[in-house]
Amino acid sequence: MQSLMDRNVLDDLKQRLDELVTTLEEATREVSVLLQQGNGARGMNGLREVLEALQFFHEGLDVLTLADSATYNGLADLKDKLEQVYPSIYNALEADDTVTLADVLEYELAATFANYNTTKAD
Amino acid sequence: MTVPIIEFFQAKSGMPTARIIAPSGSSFMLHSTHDPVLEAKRFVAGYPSLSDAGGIICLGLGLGYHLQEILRVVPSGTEILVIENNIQLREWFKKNAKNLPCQRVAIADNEGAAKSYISRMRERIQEKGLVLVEHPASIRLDLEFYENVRRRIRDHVSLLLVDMTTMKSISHVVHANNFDNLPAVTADPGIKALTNAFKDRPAVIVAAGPSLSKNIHLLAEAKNRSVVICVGTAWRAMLAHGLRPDLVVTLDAGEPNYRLFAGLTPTEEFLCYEPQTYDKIIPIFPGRRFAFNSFTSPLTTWLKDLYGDKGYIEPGGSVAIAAFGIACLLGANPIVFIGQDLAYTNGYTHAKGTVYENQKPDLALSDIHYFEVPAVGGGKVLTARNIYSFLVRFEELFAMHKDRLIIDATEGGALKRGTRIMTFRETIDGYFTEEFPVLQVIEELHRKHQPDPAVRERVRRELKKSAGELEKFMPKLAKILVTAAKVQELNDLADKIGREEFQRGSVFACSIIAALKKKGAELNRRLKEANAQSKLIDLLCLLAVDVELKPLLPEKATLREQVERIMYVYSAYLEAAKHTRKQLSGAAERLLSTGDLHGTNALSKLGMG
Repeated sequence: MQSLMDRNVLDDLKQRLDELVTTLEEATREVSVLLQQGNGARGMNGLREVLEALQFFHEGLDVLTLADSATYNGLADLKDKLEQVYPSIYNALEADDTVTLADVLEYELAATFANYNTTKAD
Repeated sequence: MTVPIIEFFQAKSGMPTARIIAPSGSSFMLHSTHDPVLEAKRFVAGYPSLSDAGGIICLGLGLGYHLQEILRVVPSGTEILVIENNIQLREWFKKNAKNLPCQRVAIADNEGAAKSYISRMRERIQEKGLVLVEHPASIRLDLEFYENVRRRIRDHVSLLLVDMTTMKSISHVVHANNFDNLPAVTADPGIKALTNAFKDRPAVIVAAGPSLSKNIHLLAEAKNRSVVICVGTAWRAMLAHGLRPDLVVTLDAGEPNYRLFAGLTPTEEFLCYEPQTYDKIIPIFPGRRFAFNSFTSPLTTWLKDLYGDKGYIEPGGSVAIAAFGIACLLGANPIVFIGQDLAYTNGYTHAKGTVYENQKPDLALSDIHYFEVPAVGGGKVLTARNIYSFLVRFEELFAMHKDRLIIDATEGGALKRGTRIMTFRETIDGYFTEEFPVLQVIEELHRKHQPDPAVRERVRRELKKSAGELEKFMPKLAKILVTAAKVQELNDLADKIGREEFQRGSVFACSIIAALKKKGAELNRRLKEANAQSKLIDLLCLLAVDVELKPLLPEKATLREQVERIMYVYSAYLEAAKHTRKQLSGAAERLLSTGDLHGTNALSKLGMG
């Protein structure tokens, strides 16, 4: 019974994380557009929210992979890919290069989320 | 400044993009490395008001993607100014831009171009506003340059708004004063008689800002050690301290200006006035006046050609700016300001002893009207948009007169770039060290000028002739109105008959159309005839400011809208013609009387009712 409850909780968490990936993809694209429109202040606020949500996403992902890494390996792959994008975001932020930041958000981060969503649907 | 390196390469979409490498080695992208065209589309979408803008200025060109996108979304007649100070980017764009409509796009490297653009587009900007498109990555190439350009653009637009408001509110009064003051202006010496009369002598300009109360008492020590030039508003305050200036400057056309002078009597001071000055002020200074020319319009140009140039003094919208122009013309150096706060120091608008001594700004007005500027002595001080426009012009003038030492001895108010800040005490001790005869020199130069009866007669003859021309012109304007009314009537009738009747080809419908065409042709002929008399039309335009400020009709305006506009415009012209003819005749009559030479014209005018 305990094990079944755990499984339900884990599946529920997985579903919530999947939904979050969709939201994150949309939000990341919105932030990218804001930055490209020269709306730096709103763009940076949006980016902060995206990064906070990503932190929640990673925490959830840690729970899932610790419990059953084999079942949730799609999400684990996503985690690896996201971790490859973070240095580019960090570098763009450090250089205060909003053009590159917008590119990274749209063509790397949002694209990674989109790729996960497509793979999941397949 | 060390020039950054610009590295051009191909984005993933195949379009060119560029990376900026700063001398420090840090770098940033000018455009997307993936799709710069899409990026530009999004950027321009962030400016929804572009499609209906009266003027567009882009700060930063980059590789021109956003410019191309703006050209795509704005109406075909919109002119765009781009300011880009990086020569590499300008040259790259010139070489690579294709199908650029050169008549609509100007690319410049300085803020002077923005000033010209704003002046040229003033009517459209007044009507629809100016959109400033700032390309952040381009601006990052030279933050200081673009900050300066941004500030200057804001300043020019502020000046433009003030000028238009002033013009609209006082144009009728200005017109009347120019005629009423004509006998005095014709007879009085021009300010140019004083050119370099006080070369390298100090001059002090006494303005009426709140800080004047701090140091006005020291002015007694400045007398005969400097030329004391006071603005009209400060004259009363000086007299209250038992002080007499050498020159009093005035130029405002409205009745409130008279309140500054009412009840005061000059003993030794001379009045320097612009012909548009409120007419009751001039006779207060009989035989002690200099005229100067500041404002240009078809009327003032015509009159000036008749009586002769009096000497140009830039008004800049403020009497103190005109006073500065006079100090420069005198050859004065240093030029010292007191009471020139250009701000609401301690919450007041003016100094003690002026007619506005207890006046405070109406802070209930919008935030746009009031804002803070850097203050003398640090911190900030509150100012207003119109006053700020004077500060802007002062700073421009100071930059143009670097051969003079300009001292701000106000001891308060707004910080003025281009001035040396000193107390009035320090200024007197440091620069007002030698006595020299001021009034004697002015009086001597004034005496040298004798009124020329031949000039007066020429002016009188021309005024009479023009009054006669207007007399003949008025029936033509009246006929335009009658014909336009008939066209409107026939057009209304044609609308009522309806499309079906026309399609059936009924005789009645055809006759209405024929009559409409005939009257329309007659109206066009009459308009052409009237407009050919450009001198008169220009004169009437002056009085019909509302007509001038009315937005242009859209290209596809209906016949009804067009005829309505014709009736509106020519009714205003007819009214202006009646009024102006009367003024021309009145001025001609006053010039005939010898008593007008020293400014009794206002009294005779009162007699005329």
